[in-house]
Amino acid sequence: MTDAIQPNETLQSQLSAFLDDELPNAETDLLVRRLIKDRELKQTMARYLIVGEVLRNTASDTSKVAALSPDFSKRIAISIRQEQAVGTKEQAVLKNSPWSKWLRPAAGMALASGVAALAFVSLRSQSDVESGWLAAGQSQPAIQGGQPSYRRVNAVTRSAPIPEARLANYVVAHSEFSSPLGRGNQLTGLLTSEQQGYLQIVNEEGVPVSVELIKTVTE
Amino acid sequence: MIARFASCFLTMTCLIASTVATAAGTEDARVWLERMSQALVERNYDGRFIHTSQTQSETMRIIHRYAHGQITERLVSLDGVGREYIRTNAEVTYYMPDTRSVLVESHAEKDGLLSLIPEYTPGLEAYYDISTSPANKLLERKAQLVNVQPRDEYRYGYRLWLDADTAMPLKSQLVDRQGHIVAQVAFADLVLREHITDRDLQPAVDTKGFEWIRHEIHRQALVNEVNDWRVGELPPGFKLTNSRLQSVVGSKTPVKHLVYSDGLATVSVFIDQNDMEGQVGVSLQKVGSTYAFHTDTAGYQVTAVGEVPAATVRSMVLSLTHPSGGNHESLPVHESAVIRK
Repeated sequence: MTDAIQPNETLQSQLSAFLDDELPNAETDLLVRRLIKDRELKQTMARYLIVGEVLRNTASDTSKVAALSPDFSKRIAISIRQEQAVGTKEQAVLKNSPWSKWLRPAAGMALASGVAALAFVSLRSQSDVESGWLAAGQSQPAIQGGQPSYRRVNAVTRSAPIPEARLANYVVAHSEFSSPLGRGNQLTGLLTSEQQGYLQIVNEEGVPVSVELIKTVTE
Repeated sequence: MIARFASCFLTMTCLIASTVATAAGTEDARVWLERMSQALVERNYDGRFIHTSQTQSETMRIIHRYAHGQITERLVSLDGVGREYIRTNAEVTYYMPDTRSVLVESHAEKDGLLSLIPEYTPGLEAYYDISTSPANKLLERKAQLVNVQPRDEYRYGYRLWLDADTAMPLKSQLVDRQGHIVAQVAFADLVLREHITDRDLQPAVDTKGFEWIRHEIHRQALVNEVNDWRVGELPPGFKLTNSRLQSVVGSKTPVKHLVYSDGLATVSVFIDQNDMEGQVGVSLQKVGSTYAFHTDTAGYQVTAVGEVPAATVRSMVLSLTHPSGGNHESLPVHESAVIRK
């Protein structure tokens, strides 16, 4: 039984090191070759990337959340208890996440839970709205009585997304003037974005502020 | 006295030697960058790689051929719905099976631009700290590490593991000012081939029933009209390097395309005149590691696209000025719509 688990743990640890840029080159070669063939491992990495990005951005912006809610961690704890359906899966992901170390500065805020991460994203989306990532004149979701609500935010900042074909057109036209390395990255980005969709609006750190990311984390 | 003089002389000698060594190291790094660019353009290669960005990863295959000054390149997504593109000196054909469409973008310079090897001048060092250091083997090949660290927040840098023999990038990381990885490409295998056949460069997508969207560059470019537009607050080092008019999906009239570069990073600004009235809004989107900041204003749609931090594309759009009766006026973008952090 232990023997069956061990390779997964080794791989997870290698994935962590790879994403943290701490994996030796020789092991990187082997891991990348395995990633090409192993769809499940690749999906695990994709989950790490998403969760890691959420945590990295939310953990680095705790001041904004704290300002909104000095009693935040208590309500997160209550939310965790209420969200029976969510939990085990996300906790497992977070526990094994290469970004678990990102949690340390915010440990007191009970971030080590999928629900907490979701709440943070939700709050962040709202604070982005508050910061003005909206068309002028568009109404903001209310923060009732100074208390942030945890409802998921739809249609945030979707004032003027560039249609997919047009954005692809812009990137292709732009790539013509880039260096060979930059051009390769930009055109690769066009292909990699198919799963996420170009229409996704992002915040300054490149994290989507719409609900799709949250759904991805919970799935 | 003699001892003090000897000490000073020794210190000065060390300082000069160190400066000379650093300069030589930087020049060496720039040579590596140019060798890499040349290899990416002029080598024949076939490889599979993992592309990871902040929130996603994807497996790709790239097949690149260079023959008689002509480039043909095929990039295929091995995951998802199988999007791919074929790039030649003349055009990029982008196959999108999920939307049953094919986008064809003709290039302005059919022979020159894409096969051009960029020259990295010493001036680049004002904006990037460029250095080399030894690296362990990758793909069982001796590697050379080249670090290109941005000196400010307006651009990204690179960490490049280059094949010591051919200068092909075996692994590359796009990094921000703090050294965080924005995107990474790591090859699982890379074969440098003598010949690549036409068959290898054929798309796997069956385009029967697909919609084909073609665009031509307007070579008669109303250059003066394009050049009347200006970015008021350019990030340090960026300057206008090109401008043209071109067709764009969904636009009835040619779109103005301004290109700005600092010698390594490039930003395009697209200005589309439209008849929409009273709409004001902004959006920030991301394609891979490329940001697109977009604003609708009365009469214009302006979009800046570049593999640079979001703040760079945003500041360029918001400081754009347009000609009005001989005087330049700022676009009617409401700053209140975007809060600067």
